[in-house]
Amino acid sequence: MACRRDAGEGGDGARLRSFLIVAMSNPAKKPDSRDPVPGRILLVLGCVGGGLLAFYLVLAVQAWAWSPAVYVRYAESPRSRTLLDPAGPPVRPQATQPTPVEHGREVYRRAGCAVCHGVDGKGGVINPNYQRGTFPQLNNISQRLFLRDADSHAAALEALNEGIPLDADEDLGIDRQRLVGVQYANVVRIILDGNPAQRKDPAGVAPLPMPGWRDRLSETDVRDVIAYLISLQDLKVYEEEE
Amino acid sequence: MTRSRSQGWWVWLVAAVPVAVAGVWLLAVLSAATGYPWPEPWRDRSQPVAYSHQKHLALHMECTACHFGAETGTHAGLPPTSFCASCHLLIPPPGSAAEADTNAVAAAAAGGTNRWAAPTPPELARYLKAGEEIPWKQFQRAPRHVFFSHRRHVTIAHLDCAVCHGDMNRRDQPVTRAEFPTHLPGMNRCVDCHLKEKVSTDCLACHH
Ligand code: HEC
Ligand code: HEC
Ligand code: HEC
Ligand code: HEC
Ligand code: HEC
Ligand code: HEC
Repeated sequence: MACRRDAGEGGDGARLRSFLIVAMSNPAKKPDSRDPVPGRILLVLGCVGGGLLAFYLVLAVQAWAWSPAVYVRYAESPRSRTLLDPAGPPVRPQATQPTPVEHGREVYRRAGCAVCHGVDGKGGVINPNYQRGTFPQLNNISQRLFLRDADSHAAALEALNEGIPLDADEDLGIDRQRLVGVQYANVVRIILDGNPAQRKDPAGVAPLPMPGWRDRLSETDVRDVIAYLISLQDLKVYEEEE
Repeated sequence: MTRSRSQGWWVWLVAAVPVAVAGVWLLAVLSAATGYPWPEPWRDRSQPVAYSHQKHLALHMECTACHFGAETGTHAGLPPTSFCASCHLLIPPPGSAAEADTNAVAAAAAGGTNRWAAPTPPELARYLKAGEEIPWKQFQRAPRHVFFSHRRHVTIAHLDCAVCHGDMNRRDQPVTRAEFPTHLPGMNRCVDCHLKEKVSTDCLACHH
């Protein structure tokens, strides 16, 4: 602004003339001694420096705009990926129907059973003031279901994998199937309706109970979760007994 | 004399503008180059609920129970509100005097045998009652041109979460900034370890 002021009449015109003279540093025509020379030098430096910085600012913005952080974003459409990648877009494997055990594992993770019963049902999470100390582990649920040998364990898993609940009437090849069926119905009820937890210290805080999942899990979800839990059983237990 | 003084004022103004621009620019370049978290007053860094990793990890909960994508997916993910709801119950404990009380949150805060083991602060109770997802802010985030897979590092390379996220067991406040225990800037935090572990440092392994 200041350096582009028009050469008007009077003082302004004279100032601009003397300014130009200083700028061209002609010692022969020294300007009026009333004009402060250091101020003019600063003015020149300001204009030149400002111009340079503006130039560099433009360069910086351009450099930023060309950095991968910016331009890769615009190459993210499927079309540009295909253009950039000689192998073409990745071929996704065909999604296969998950088996009940896989589905049960997904339900277990997404419903959040693991926050209490541990990842892979291994337990060990503390329940404050709970009679048993920690939330029950679930990777030994086969024993709780009275599946007493490896064959019954395999038969139960097979039935659940086919979508048949263990309290069904048909013969599933499980040793003492009626008893197993009763226990199975019990576990299903606990999962659907929840179960209160006993306090260790009657005057202390209330320990966290097993919440009910009836409005969040379907019958299939519960059956598949139990199939998943049975599949977690360490089969060594059966070998030792034999 | 008055005229020259007023001219001096203009000179300073003209000089000050580029200096100020250069200053801001330098700060921006420095913060980008060093990865140092310069103050960003315009960004709200508070989390909606005062979640404490320390209190929950003291119960021996595992990271992947809540961040259940860490072993199998690209993103570790943050737990949905329903996870919190299964412990932070709003119904009063059975057998307590407060069981009949309709204002369960107030009863839960009353203490003694009326109290659940997991106290529910009112700001959390509000989300649980409304059944809304808690709008957590996520600070640990790789830029969009970088591919980072948790599964690759956690399940395949068997790295402990603490290598990259520090000791969460001692974090009693919610996460409010991206942190990396080695304090290396930007890309170096990845490349440094890849060089040490003799893993690929091919640009296209990480950039796409
Ligand atoms: C708030 C924590 C919590 C969550 C979340 C939770 N449970 Fe439980 N669960 C418990 C407690 C506490 C018990 C023990 C209750 C008792 O003392 O009888 C229990 C008991 C069980 C039992 C019976 C075990 C036995 O040996 O009696 C099964 C089966 C079970 N839970 C399955 C599940 C499934 C499946 C899920 C996820 C859909 C789940 N739980 C989620 C706390 C929880
Ligand atoms: C396994 C059960 C469990 C789950 C799941 C859980 N919490 Fe907690 N939470 C607790 C317990 C027990 C305490 C009390 C710990 C203590 O005081 O030492 C607690 C304490 C807290 C507190 C501090 C309350 C206070 O006043 O001291 C907050 C806030 C909190 N939890 C938020 C959450 C959020 C948000 C989630 C969901 C991501 C969550 N919790 C999931 C059991 C749980
Ligand atoms: C009870 C569930 C729970 C458990 C267990 C848990 N976290 Fe978290 N985590 C959360 C919640 C909720 C947030 C979001 C609030 C926050 O940022 O503090 C979070 C945030 C984080 C973040 C910050 C994400 C971001 O960019 O903002 C990291 C990193 C993290 N957790 C790592 C871990 C590690 C490592 C462990 C195991 C040592 C762990 N978490 C265990 C619930 C959990
Ligand atoms: C090799 C380093 C590394 C390891 C090991 C690692 N993380 Fe991360 N984590 C990252 C990076 C980088 C990001 C940002 C990722 C992004 O933006 O996609 C991140 C992001 C996160 C987030 C934020 C939410 C999200 O989905 O991105 C959470 C939560 C988290 N990690 C939890 C964990 C847990 C739990 C573990 C251990 C099981 C773990 N991380 C192990 C590097 C790591
Ligand atoms: C503490 C060490 C460590 C850190 C930090 C780390 N990585 Fe890795 N990364 C590894 C290891 C070890 C492997 C090899 C895994 C395997 O066996 O496939 C790997 C593999 C990878 C791969 C696959 C490489 C290939 O050959 O295809 C990518 C991509 C990757 N890391 C990206 C990242 C990014 C992005 C970051 C930073 C956010 C990062 N890593 C930080 C240790 C690390
Ligand atoms: C191990 C993974 C990894 C490898 C290998 C890698 N990068 Fe990066 N790069 C990153 C990450 C992560 C960032 C983002 C850093 C940040 O901003 O936090 C990044 C950022 C960048 C940026 C943007 C500048 C910035 O700081 O934001 C450029 C440019 C870049 N990388 C170029 C390269 C080139 C060229 C190579 C090959 C020599 C390479 N990268 C190899 C992980 C990697």
